[in-house]
Amino acid sequence: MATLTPTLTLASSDMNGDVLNLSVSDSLTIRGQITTKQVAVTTASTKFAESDNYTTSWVYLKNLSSVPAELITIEKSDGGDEYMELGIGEWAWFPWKAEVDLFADSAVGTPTLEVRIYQVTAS
Amino acid sequence: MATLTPTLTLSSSDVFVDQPLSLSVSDSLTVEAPMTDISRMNTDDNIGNGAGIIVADLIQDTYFVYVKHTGILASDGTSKANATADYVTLSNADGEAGSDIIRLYPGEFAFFPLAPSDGSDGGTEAGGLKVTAGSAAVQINYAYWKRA
Repeated sequence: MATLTPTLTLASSDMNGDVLNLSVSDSLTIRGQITTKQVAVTTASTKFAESDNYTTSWVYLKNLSSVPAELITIEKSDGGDEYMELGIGEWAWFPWKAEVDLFADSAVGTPTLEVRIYQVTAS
Repeated sequence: MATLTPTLTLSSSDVFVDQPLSLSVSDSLTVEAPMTDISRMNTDDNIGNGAGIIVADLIQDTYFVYVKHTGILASDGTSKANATADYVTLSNADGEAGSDIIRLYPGEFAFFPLAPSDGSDGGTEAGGLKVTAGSAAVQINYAYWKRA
């Protein structure tokens, strides 16, 4: 068992006539597997997390490309429901139910997707 | 337009046997209206798009979204939510099965760039974002910003 502490800050000084300065943190217990990898994403869609191999997990994703056109879409399957769209340098942090597989699909090219998965339960 | 700077740190001293985890990632996002400041709603509130819908369907733009489960029941704005039963599921605005990959329990939060709709309700992605309570309605904090 391990403790993972995620902290998110959101800051802006030029929106809504107000200063945005949010900081939230959590303390997550991680008992299961941890996956840390980089995936070469193509326009043919690549499965990077199979639901049968995980239970509820926290997921961090980042588009490592420096080519603006190389958007990465996170989707249910090749051509299936689309959940997220990561531009270059953009990232996501969310709890994945692990009831459907996760695929990545690039708009063009072969961008690299950084993937970190922290499974909450032991199995 | 405005600049949004999101930063995430992940830290742990015991997640690996031989090394601590210390990850920090930031970004500088150019955003424009429609956007919100940090806001609060009940999971069954209608903020203009239908009950529980934060971002309407068929929106063909990318939105950066923040959602946090406050752990507070909507019924009185004071009582604590049940730690296991009163979760919040995030789905597309139509609440379609299979689009609900994210489930937040009390105190948990998520930040991600929501994929745009393909513009067709019967298409690959109807789009939008809806929150649905697992049991009793709860309060969430949320914010969204359109990618410029």
